Amino acid sequence: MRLAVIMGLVLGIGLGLLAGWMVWPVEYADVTPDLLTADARIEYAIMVATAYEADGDLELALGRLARLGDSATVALLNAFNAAEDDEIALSGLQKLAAELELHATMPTPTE
Amino acid sequence: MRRPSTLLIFLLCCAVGIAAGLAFAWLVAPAQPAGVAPERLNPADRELYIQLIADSYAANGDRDAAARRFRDLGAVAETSLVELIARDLNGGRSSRGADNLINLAAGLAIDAPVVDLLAQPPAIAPATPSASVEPTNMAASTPPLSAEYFELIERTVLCPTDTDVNRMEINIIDSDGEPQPGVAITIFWDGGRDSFFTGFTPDQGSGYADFKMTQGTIYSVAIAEDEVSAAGLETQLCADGRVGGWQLEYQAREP
Repeated sequence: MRLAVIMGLVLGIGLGLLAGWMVWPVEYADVTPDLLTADARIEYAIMVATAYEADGDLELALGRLARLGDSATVALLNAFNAAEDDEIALSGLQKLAAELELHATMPTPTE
Repeated sequence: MRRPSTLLIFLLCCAVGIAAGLAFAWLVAPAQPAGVAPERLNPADRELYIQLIADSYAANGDRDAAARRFRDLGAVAETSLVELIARDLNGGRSSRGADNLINLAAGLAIDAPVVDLLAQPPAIAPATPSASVEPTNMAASTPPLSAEYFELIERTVLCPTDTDVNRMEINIIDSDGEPQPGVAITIFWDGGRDSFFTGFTPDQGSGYADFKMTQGTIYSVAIAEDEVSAAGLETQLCADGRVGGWQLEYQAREP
């Protein structure tokens, strides 16, 4: 009897956790930009840089970038590769990186 | 008394365990998202995202990128963009950011009266000043410029007994007679114009909008994409000596 109780509970809890975490996980809504997918965060950083290149409003750009939270720096650096030959975005990214003193960690351009 | 079978107890405990496991997984320690799509952004950040799309589009003119980014925001993106533009208009915000939003909407061919109005301002028909317009019911002969146009079905001097009313009250109804919100109204006067929308004064009805008139200024009114349909409007002198305004009622018509 006791064994049936223990086994039932253990199995049930295991199934419940599996279902709640893997099969039907909580779906998030009304999230902030820091919870976006990595690709979306990079896209976000590219847009911030492009806008910054056009308007030169550093305070606005940094405020927008701050919405990415701790992942802002990573998104900004990865945006260099994603921006490819988008010169406006690359220029904005370089200026933002300079303002954030990210030169030491920036990828070295290769010819 | 019979004791419940071991199998039954096992199944019951299993059910309790599943419930406990689900409660823990959903309520206590939900799985952290590996990354969510932009369409799940909260409203404020969605608007910021739209502004970023607009600013980027203004900077690089890359319509394909703007369209792709806009699609990432899902079905609500279009509504959010139109609301943003409408809010800017009603708040009197005139800036590069507001212009960028309008350009984005025009570039993406967003189908909304406010976009059509702002992207391609209507031609201003010459106003015909008239200081002594009598209260009348009249039908405007406005030629249709779009799939729907608005017919002026009533134009009445507004003269309440107890107060000055130097405003223009505009009500717009659809072809079924129901109040129609979100219709752009543009008021023109010598040296200026103002645009606003119906439905921002809920207690007056969703088809209602009003405009404060200045004494001595003559106004003309255009609805949505239509040409000017009411001209020569200025504050009126009521019978009791108070200042009166105008009530205009429009109805949507099929061409």
